[in-house]
Amino acid sequence: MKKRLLSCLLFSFFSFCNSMLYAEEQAHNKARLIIWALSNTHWQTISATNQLNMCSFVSGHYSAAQYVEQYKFVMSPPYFVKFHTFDNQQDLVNFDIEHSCQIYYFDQTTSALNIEQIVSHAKQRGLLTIGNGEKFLTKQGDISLISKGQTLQLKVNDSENSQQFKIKALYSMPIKF
Amino acid sequence: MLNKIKIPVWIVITVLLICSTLTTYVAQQAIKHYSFSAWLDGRIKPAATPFAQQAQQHLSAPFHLFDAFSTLVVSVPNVSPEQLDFWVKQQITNTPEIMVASLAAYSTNNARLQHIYSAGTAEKYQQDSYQQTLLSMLHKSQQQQGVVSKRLDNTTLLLGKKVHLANAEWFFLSEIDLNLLKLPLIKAHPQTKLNFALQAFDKQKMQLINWHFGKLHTDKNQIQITLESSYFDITLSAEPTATFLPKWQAPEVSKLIGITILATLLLTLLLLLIWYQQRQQKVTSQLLQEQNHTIHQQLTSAKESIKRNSRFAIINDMAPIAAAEISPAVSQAIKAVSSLEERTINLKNKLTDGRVTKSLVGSYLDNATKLTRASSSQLLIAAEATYTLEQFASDLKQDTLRNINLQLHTAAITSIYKKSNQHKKVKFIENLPGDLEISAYSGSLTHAICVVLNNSIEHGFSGKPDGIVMIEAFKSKDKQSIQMRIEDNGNGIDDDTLNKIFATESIDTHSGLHLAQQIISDKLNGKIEVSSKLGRFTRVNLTLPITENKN
Repeated sequence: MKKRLLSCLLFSFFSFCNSMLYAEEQAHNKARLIIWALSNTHWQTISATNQLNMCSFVSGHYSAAQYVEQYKFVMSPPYFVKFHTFDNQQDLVNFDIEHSCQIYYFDQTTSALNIEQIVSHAKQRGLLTIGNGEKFLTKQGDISLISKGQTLQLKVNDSENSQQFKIKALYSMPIKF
Repeated sequence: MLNKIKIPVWIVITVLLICSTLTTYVAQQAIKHYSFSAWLDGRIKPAATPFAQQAQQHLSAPFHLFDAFSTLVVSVPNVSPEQLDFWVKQQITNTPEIMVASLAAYSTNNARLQHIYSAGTAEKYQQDSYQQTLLSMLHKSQQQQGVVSKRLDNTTLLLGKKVHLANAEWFFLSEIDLNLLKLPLIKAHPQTKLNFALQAFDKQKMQLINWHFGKLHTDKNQIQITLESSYFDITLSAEPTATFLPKWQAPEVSKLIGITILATLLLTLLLLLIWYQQRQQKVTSQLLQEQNHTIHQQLTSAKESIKRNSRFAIINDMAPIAAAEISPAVSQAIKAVSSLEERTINLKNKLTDGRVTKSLVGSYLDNATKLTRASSSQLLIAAEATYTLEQFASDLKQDTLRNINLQLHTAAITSIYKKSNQHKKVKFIENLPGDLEISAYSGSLTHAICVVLNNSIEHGFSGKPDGIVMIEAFKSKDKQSIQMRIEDNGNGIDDDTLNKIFATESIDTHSGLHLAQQIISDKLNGKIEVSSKLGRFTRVNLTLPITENKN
């Protein structure tokens, strides 16, 4: 009985560790795609602060936003991007009011939340919104990261045109690193 | 020519068709191969080279950045972190291939690793959990000059470099995110319509990357491009994504193949016609052979019939002669016997009357003796004639092999001809030694001699009141054969006819000699020669082997 319990615990621990590693790997790859998407986005209007603020609304620890931050100097031509991460929607809104966000990022969980208002407001201001899942595009998001199995797909919402930025043609097929 | 080869034409045609099919197939494969090679070199290489160059540029960029960073730090030792940040940003802004920068600089004076600056993901190597990796790279860079590289995992490549200048030492570290580096190539890949295997090795032949863009199937359809830089060597294997369908690059080759196939077909058709013609000829030849065989059989049968009829004709000729000889002899014998009978009756009557005298009896006995002798003589003549005829008939019918005295045999034949009223004006001169003996088919010998004699009498003396037939025979010098010559002083034979006697099967006036030739050659194993002078003579020489016939 003890052996069975022990093996069950070991198996559970192994599965947990495996899923943690997989989540980290996926988050890291998403970060790479975000950096790639940002570097292929060209901004038309020069920011007053000469930098772009990327405001990420995330729910957990294994977010692509945290990995993106590690790269420090990420460019979305012609500006470098400064990263700000929030796990509270109100904090995000407050930061946006005070410092102004040009890029929004919503992770897998927050993309599924009721963010239509933020996204809609960003659209009105001609700002870039990046999210997760197919549904994010239906919420008028600009770029969505879609995870299917071991592949990641970067989809750009072609119907959304902004005067502030132009996204170069990206690779839209599923990518397996 | 085909008849000489002795190979059936259908085999030649089949081999030709197989050869032409194989040749066409091999030619097609060769053209496909060369066409494909040309296509690979002409199309794939130009399409793959930009991809290889792009890969080289993207992979070289972090190396160059790393080198430039180390040079900057070494050459400006007092540069501030803010200045370095600005410099790094400048590099990212001005270098399209660089999306991010991960750089770190350490001072290694007094064997202590002291952090100077770090940017990007290289910042984490200040953490304790990464110390071992950091020291490992430091150790590796101490062993080798220049930039050293090390793969940490599938996604991370570390670069290290140790610089010693004057009394100062630096260690530089850079972390390259390979997956991030791969993204522009993933994007560029579909446009090439090729599949790639991209490998990079540092100068120590350590593998830096091994990426696949699409799946490579076989080595056959690949081309390889190798690019070298001061940091690493790139090898790119490229293969077309779609199955290559051969497009004939050279219309001349297509024309050549077409002409070859057409020529082969025409040649095959020609051979088929020749084959058909030969077959028809063969059928016709077989038919003619069969007809010829039938005609030959009929001819042989006819010849045999002619021979048989000829023999019967001889018998038929001889029978009246014999009859003409027998009848008077028997008649004379009957007369003699009748006279004797009459005389005997008279003597008996006188004896009854008692008028018999001694002189009368003596006279009767003398007459009786004469009459008996005369009767016997005539009966003997009749018997001989009968015997001779019977012997001839038997010989001609049975044709048995027996020993023959040629003198007696010839005399018997000529005697019959002499007795014939028809031939009474022909004089026979015989000159044959008495010891000439031959073992032969008696009927055939008789037949041959009769035919030659008939030819002389019937044709040679035609229109002439009389003539001479001379028969001679003697042994040849080698004693193996007998030379027999039958010559007449008749009309002779003209040269044209003489030449045709043995050469033709046609029935002409001298066909008897041809028959004689057949008899002599077939049955007597001898030969016959005829010479003649028109209006003077005809000479027939017979060569009859002695031993051959005996055997």
